[in-house]
Amino acid sequence: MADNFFVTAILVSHDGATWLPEAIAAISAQSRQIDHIVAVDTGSIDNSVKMLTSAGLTVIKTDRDAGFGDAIALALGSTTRVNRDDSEELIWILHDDCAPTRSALELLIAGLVDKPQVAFVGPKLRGWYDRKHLLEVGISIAPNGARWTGLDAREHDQGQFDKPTEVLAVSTAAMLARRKIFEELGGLDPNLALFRDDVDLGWRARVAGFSVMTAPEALVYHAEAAASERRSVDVEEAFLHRPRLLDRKNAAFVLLVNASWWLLPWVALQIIGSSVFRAIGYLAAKLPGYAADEIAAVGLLIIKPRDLLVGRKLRREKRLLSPRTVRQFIPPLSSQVRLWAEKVDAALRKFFEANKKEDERLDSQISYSDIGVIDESFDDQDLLTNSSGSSWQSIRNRPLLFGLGATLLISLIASRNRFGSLSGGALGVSPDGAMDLIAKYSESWHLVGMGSAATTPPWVAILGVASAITFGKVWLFISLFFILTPTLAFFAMYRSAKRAGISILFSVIGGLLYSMSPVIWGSINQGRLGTLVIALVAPGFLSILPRTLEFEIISWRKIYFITLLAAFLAAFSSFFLIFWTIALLVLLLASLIQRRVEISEVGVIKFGWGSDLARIKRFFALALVPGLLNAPWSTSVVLNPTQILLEPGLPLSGGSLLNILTLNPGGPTAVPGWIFAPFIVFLVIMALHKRFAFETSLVFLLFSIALIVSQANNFGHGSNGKIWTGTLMIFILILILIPILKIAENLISNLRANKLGAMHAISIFAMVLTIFTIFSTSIWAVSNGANSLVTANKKEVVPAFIEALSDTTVRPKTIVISENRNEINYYVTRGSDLEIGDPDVAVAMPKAIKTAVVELISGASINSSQIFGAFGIQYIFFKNPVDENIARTIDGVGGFTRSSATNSGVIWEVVGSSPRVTLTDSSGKVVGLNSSKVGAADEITSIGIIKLAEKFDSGWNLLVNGNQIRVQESDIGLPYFEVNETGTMTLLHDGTRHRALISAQLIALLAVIILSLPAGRRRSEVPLEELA
Amino acid sequence: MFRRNIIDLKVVASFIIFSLTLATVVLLQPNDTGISKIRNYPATVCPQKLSDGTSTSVLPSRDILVREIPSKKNLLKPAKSALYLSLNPLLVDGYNSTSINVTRSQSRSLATVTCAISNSEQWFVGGSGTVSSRASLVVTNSGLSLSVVDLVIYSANPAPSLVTKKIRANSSKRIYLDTLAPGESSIVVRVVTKSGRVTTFLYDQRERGLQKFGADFVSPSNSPEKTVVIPAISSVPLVRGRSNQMLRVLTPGKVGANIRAQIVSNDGSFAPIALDNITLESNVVADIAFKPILKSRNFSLVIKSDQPIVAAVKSSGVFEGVNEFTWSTAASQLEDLAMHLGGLQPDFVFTGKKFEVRISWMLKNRKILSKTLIGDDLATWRPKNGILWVSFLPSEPDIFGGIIFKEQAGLSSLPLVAGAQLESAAVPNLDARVIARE
Repeated sequence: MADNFFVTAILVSHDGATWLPEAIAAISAQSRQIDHIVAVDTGSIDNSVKMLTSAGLTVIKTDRDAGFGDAIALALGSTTRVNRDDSEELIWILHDDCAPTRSALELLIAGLVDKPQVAFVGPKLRGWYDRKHLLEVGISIAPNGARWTGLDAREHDQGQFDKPTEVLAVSTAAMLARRKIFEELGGLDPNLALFRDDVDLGWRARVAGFSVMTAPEALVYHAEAAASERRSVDVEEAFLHRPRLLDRKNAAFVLLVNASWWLLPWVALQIIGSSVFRAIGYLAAKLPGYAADEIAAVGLLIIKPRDLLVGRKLRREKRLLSPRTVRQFIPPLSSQVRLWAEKVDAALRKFFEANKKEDERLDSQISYSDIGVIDESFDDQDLLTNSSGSSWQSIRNRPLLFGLGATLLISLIASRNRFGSLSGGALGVSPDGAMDLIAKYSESWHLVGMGSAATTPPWVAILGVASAITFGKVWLFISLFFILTPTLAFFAMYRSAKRAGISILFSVIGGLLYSMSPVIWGSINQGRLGTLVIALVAPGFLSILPRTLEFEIISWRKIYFITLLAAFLAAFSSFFLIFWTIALLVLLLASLIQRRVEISEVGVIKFGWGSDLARIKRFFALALVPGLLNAPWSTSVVLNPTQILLEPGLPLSGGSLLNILTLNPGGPTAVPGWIFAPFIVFLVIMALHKRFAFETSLVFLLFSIALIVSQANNFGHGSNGKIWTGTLMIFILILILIPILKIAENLISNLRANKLGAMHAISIFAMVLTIFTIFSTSIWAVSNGANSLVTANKKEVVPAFIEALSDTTVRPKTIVISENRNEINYYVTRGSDLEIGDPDVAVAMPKAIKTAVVELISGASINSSQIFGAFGIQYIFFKNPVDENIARTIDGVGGFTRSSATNSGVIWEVVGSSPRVTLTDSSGKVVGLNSSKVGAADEITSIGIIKLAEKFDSGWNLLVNGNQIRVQESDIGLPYFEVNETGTMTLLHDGTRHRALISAQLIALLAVIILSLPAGRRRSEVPLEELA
Repeated sequence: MFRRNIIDLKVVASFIIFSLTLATVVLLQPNDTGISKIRNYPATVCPQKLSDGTSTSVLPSRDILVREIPSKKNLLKPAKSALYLSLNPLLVDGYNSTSINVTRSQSRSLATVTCAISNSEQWFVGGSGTVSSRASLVVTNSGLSLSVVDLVIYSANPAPSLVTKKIRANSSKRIYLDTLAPGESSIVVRVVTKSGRVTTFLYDQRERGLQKFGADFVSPSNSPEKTVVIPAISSVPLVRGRSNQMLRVLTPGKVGANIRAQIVSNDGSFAPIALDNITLESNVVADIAFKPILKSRNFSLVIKSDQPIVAAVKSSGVFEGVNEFTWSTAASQLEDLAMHLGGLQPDFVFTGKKFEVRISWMLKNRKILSKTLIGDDLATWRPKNGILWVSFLPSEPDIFGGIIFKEQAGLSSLPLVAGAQLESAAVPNLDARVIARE
């Protein structure tokens, strides 16, 4: 023995028969002989004890629920401390699932030589199964309780950590400790029976003035059997024998007993926050047990604060240095974020790879790259290999980059009038913040027109959530969205084409045709948010749809993923929702009819509950879940079928029949008709290919629907206009583009092989048309196309003083009138211009208001001002250009006093207008009551009738001194309440049912998201090959 | 690609569906813009009792809704009688036929006027501010807010005077002309409604001491025009041939006018010497007397000017033994019109070039008759019995019409003009786009 140390090895075993043979052999084969070995067995039920005894080791047996620290203490208690001047006793703590290399002990001891301040030294731990896998080279703890190794996931040992370093702690697996210091520090904390006891020990050593170091040249293989759930955790502290629960609890304990007092709140917050966050993550991964562990761990600590207080007291007695000493070893937040990002990235990659694999199983399309024979872009090698040459060649060789750059450049130039807060066309003004959109979705009463209890479509909430990307600034999100749409559309189609097995070059051409299509630019110029979202999602959606009706072979996860995407599309297009649902139900019916003989043979019940149950269940899930996820809005769509053809935002007429026939939805500032998009030619070519008969038939079907609906007028969303067919055309374009790209790709080789003929002529014609369309649309987009309906920072409609009045307790309303091409239009405003989401909840005005407006404009009015006044309308605002005849008529009608005539228009004040909420006492005296935007609260001093200047709805509730009063409807459609007592009154619109439905919707959405995500695995389920 | 039978049957079927759809859409392409139309008549106001006799408003039916002004409750209620006697102005709910008011005084003078809703500008060519005049403007505010009315008084004085009057909601104000233009015998009043729902009537009543000279309403005229047609002027030979016709005319601009008036009658069309080539000063009201020698009972006067003018003719004399006068005022082109007469039997006079007017009327026994009146220059029709209502359907645009009432109670005339025009064919649409930034 060359050194002056006496080494006592303590081997703790607990059901470790799997690893013990190798562990014992490794210990026995150490180049530096161990002076004394003690084995402690904590009630193993396998043959661990027998193995230890057979190896000639003295075995101390203890209870099965004894902790690791208890076992060490028991071992140390059984031996007498070596107390010689020439020799210091070291204890080498060994797990039954760790196998040190031959020189491990020798190198560990070398790490302590001439370093009296070093209390503990730890080896480099590598995986038991994957022996290259680096497990630990010293450890620490993150402020959120995560065990911190500083290593990347599945990092391999390449000698990158082979330099001894100071660390916070080392694992107890093969840790070499100076016994004296170990005992002075009190050993392993008995509160930490398993897990994190090593970090705690290192932390205590550090604040007691000692060092902890690694000796990375000493190598130990560790199975981490308890952490990887390869054996049961039976220690007394392990509630329900759950290792993760114990780990999380101990992690929190270590942080809370060792952190400074002033840091405790912050530490506690991080622990709770990260526990909740992780719990959500585990729930999403369908691991509710782990999620419960996270929450229970914090709960168990909170209910036993005494352990924490005692622990802190004991540590304070042994502490010599400031707790700040350990700060350098605690990983900073940036490191945690980086690690978290890497994990998310890895998870996403894994998720998409899993998706891809599943698609591959379903789709028969398999290329060489799919089976790994060649690189994925093999087909395009001829386009990618030539790296030398001019910049043009460089661009040519990178068609994807070219496509992205070109579409972005065109969009940026075309958007020169769209930098800022956008509005116009179908697009309302952006609200101040994303929360306003969320509120619009969650509120049961909307301050639009004379009020509305209509259900807000889910896209409003989706837009609100998406605006988080721009830190809640909706206008910025919308602006960016409109600028990036052509590029995103290009990429969406490119990806979809690639998934269909089309080469990069043809995918790029497809992307360019799609992004430069009339429907996309028409939608941009007209502010058609819904169509644009559909345009971005639909290519991907159609590409993941199964190509078979044998749904039983599709996994439930994929079914839910499709329904989730379908629900997303449906949120932006009620037409899609209805079409999707009906189409699937028809398909199911058709397949059942096809098998009617079989059904009659086996019987309906037996057929339904037999092998076809899986298929039928999937059919129904696909058909009905999108509707359910969009409830309660989807219900209102079904109950009001005229809504089906309405798009998000204001209705805006599409183009003529000729436009529709060229697959250009038309409308104001749309792509002009002379830019003849080649899709019709493509459709003809496609029709000549039997291979795409299904797609062609579907296109003709959708085209027929588009033709029919395009010529119909529809009233809804607060206005009227011809039905917009843009959404239908998106699907038509995709259904044409993918097949035509495939045809074109195959055609090239045929053209080369054949003599010049009709096929060549048609091909050239189609190509010229394609190039013409892309170029002419691009030139139009950057020139005339930039003068669109949608522009930035438009002038406000409602005069500023009316807007200012809207915040008073009177809450007045204003009727805004405008004349355009001999049409007189009007609407009621609360003081603000129409915002995004407002038209979608707009409902018809009360009949009395309509009549009063008609009579006002026609001059036939006798009591228009009375009606307006009763509805709380305080002003009539006639926007410029004002028709002088109508203005004179209003002047002459009576009950309206002209208060101003400015550049923006003429304003009349309605004589005798009521505040929003009024009390009329028995003497007929009318008193205004304080009103908030929706509800009202005030003291009422006399009995009488409380009137609310809103449209009648049964959801209005009045509480006087807590007693509910029934709402009644006046003859002109106003809600009122007969009040028979004085006191405190509260007026509110009861949104309980609405909120309950939204809560149910959120729960359903969460459930479908979780079901569509890949399931996580419990650590015990991870196969040995994947373990470290 | 071009081989036979290469097209799938499914594609063929879907293409046929598509073609049929296209054909259907093209054939049945709806032109409906989604915009509905509505026609509406505004409520009108009949004047109150302005004489010592009776004031009868002849209403379309007993069920029509009315409201007296002022009234405690601003509620309309059924009239209960088609011949409504009222001391106060009467608001009559909008209806597609015109009501009239017939005011008879104890001194046997007759005054008639169409119940109307005022335009923003009205011209009253008539009345006087002399000591013998009890002429008054009655301004009725049937609305629910304060009204402001500007009265511009033209007289022999070339400087018109402006008086602004405020009329409280749901009230009426009577303003005597002698307070507006004291001593002025020739007056034209321009009424400009600044705000509110106002109806104005001018009741011209002449008396000196106990001697009555008759009374009549001065129907409002249109805005000044270069051609003014006064379609119905009575030339009934008054006792001892003391018929007086007096043309009152005003050029309300900065430049004076040269006018030439032509009498159109069944005796022929001619320009009387007194009315041929008259030069008028601007803003000065001129009264020009003339005595046409005519066999026919009624005639029309067509005045042509090089500047916009307003004009009316006062016919005065002794009628049925008492002094009486009537103001015949200018009419606008005759349009489809129905009027309630409550059993009266007046003369209807039409003027125009080669015209036809389809006339339908209801007798007191509820029998409805009709005829087509054909005329050139002038045509007169008088029902054989009293009629409840009459409607006119002109064939040409350039036809003008008027009514002359002649009964024992006196003489009066009206232009055939609807009390309330059919308003605003374009119906306002509910459209949230008006509050969207576009």
